[in-house]
Amino acid sequence: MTNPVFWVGVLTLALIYGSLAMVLNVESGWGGMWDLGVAGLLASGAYCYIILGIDDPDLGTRFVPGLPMWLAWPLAAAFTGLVALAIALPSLRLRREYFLITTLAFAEIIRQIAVIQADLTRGTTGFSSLDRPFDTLVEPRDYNYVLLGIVAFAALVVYLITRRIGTSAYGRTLRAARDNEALALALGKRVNRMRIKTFVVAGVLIGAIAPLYLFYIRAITPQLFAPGITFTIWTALVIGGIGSIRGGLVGAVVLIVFTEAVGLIEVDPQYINILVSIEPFLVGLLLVLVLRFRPDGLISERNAFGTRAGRRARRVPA
Amino acid sequence: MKRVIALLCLFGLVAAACGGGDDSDEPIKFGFLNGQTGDYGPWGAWALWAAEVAVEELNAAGGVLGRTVELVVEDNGSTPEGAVSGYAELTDVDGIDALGGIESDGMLAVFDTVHEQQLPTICSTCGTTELDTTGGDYVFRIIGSDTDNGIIGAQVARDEGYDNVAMLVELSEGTISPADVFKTVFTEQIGGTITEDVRFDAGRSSYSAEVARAFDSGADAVYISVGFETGVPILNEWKRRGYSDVPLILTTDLLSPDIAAVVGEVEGASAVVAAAAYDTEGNPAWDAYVPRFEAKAGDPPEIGFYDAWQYDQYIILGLAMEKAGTTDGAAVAAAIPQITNPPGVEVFTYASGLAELQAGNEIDYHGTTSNMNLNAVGNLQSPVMAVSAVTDGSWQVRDYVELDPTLEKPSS
Repeated sequence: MTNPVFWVGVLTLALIYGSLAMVLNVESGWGGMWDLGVAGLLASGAYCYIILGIDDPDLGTRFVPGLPMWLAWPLAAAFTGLVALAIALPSLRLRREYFLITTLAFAEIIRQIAVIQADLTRGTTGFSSLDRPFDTLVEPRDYNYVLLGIVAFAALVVYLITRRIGTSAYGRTLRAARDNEALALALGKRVNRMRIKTFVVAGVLIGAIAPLYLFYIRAITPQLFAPGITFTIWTALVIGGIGSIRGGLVGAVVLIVFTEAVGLIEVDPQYINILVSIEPFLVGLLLVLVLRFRPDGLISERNAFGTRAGRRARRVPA
Repeated sequence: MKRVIALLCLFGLVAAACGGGDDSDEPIKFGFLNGQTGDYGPWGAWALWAAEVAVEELNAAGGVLGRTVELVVEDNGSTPEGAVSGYAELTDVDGIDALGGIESDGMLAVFDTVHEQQLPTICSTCGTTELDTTGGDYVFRIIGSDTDNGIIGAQVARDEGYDNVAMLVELSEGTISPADVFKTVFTEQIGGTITEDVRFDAGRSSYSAEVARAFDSGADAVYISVGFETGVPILNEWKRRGYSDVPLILTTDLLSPDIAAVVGEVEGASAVVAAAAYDTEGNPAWDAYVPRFEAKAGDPPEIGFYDAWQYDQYIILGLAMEKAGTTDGAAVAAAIPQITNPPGVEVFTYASGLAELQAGNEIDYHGTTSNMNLNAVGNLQSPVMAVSAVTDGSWQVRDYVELDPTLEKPSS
């Protein structure tokens, strides 16, 4: 049988993606902001966290702040919120595909800044050998379980926060503005301000999740934040169900577990090229099957808000 | 939805049950964690063929420690995240005894884990300068670093008599790193001038403006550090605009037949690549490797595809395991410099090395790409460097060169 440590790692990655997908759902699923810049916000949080924690002058960076992990972490979240605000102010004048392209462009700009500003970020070399919380308390081999615990706790917190948003009057107004912006405006809702606020909240949450991703990868380079990571989060959200509270989490677990399980298929090395070609095809097939038989994802928005949480949301006055 | 999740769980359990164990009667497993897809995909097949040639050679000589060797292949998608999950699969599921094939960014991502798990690892194509001062315990590098490639580029520019050089640099790890070293050494140690330093992201539909800025800057030569896929459109633009009177200094990724063909079509053009090279002159290891690789791949080894380094790493791992007499990671890692460095009988193949070890002799393995002598941090002491030039539409080694010891690695 497979060593359980392997599946612990898989589940850890799935929960990190799940947390990001739940945040993406707040801004895109409920807020109607088709954000392709998640990787950029993730990079902002990750680099801020790393740079604030630098304590070795031999790394050759301009700043050696040496902040402890527990201070750098919230500051990284706050900084990512500011970056989100800077992106939202010009971008949210746009809608749909225009907003989508703009956020993608911002993400690439952030990645290129990480490449070019080598005196801050160490450029394409990046950082490795990162400290991780509680890593001195257990044997290195057992740390995967600790990290899973931390990530699971974080996923639970993100779930509770996003559920709170989704079932609140604020969340209902957000979805109403998504479905009929003119009506929301006519009812006196300050839709643009609301979206900016949502985008910033999403930025703060993504910034808070970013260090977890680094604890898993154990290194940071600009390449880590290529657009592929955004598309993976989007795929998880589509599979799980755009608009549902826990759809992103379920979708990420299904997607990551499925992808890793496909990778476990053993073939003769001479056929490895065929297998690696088939892997994305199988993931694509999964997506097609989900969309064919469950067009709203594994958990639809309607079902999500048909739950007790949803019923409670309907009782809350706008 | 429950049915879908149940099916996925069942699929996962079945796949999990297919995982291997680590029983000592089973084959010794060498992991091959490599970018078979993604950015490194174009090199993937060549890397895998070379690794397979090496493992076939090990098994043809009776295996390692009397056991057959199995190559366990995992694609890392050319990403750090893929490297982390691929590494976990190789160690936690397959139970590999040693690792090879990994590239720079993936290596940095699993570097700490490799040490924690005491897994002997050879980084056959890592150029990253991060390994210049680390490694030597469990991680070894058998190719010159980007520092070496940058210095040799500056050295060639100096030796060719170029005082003013323009630069075209793609923004990626493997291209910026040597370019930065080139720039520092050329300007600060040689006293040259960079007339224009043009840096850009890959994947553009046109590089017209970048090419114009570099070639119109009045430079004696243009240093181009870009990936292969970016190099082709840049050189087509260079050809179309008629800049053939400006010599080119290219980096390793452009040492490919396609690039040579483009340059060869331009009358009077001059292009050189100064980079790590295969050790082909009078080297029995090379002579033995070439026909076997050609039989496997259908083409001869190609310097731009880095295949021979992939081969060397598994021969080293096999010999080190024999030297250690065990698959224990710490013992095998300790044996690696013992079989690559003098003193010892110089051997060029696994079979000859195995025979010497079984006779109780120390060995000094000389691979297809260099003498493999490693320093205290697991880096090559003297990577083979060569200046290649385009002759009759193909790359030909013009000179083997040694790094000028007066040119030093720039401090970070």
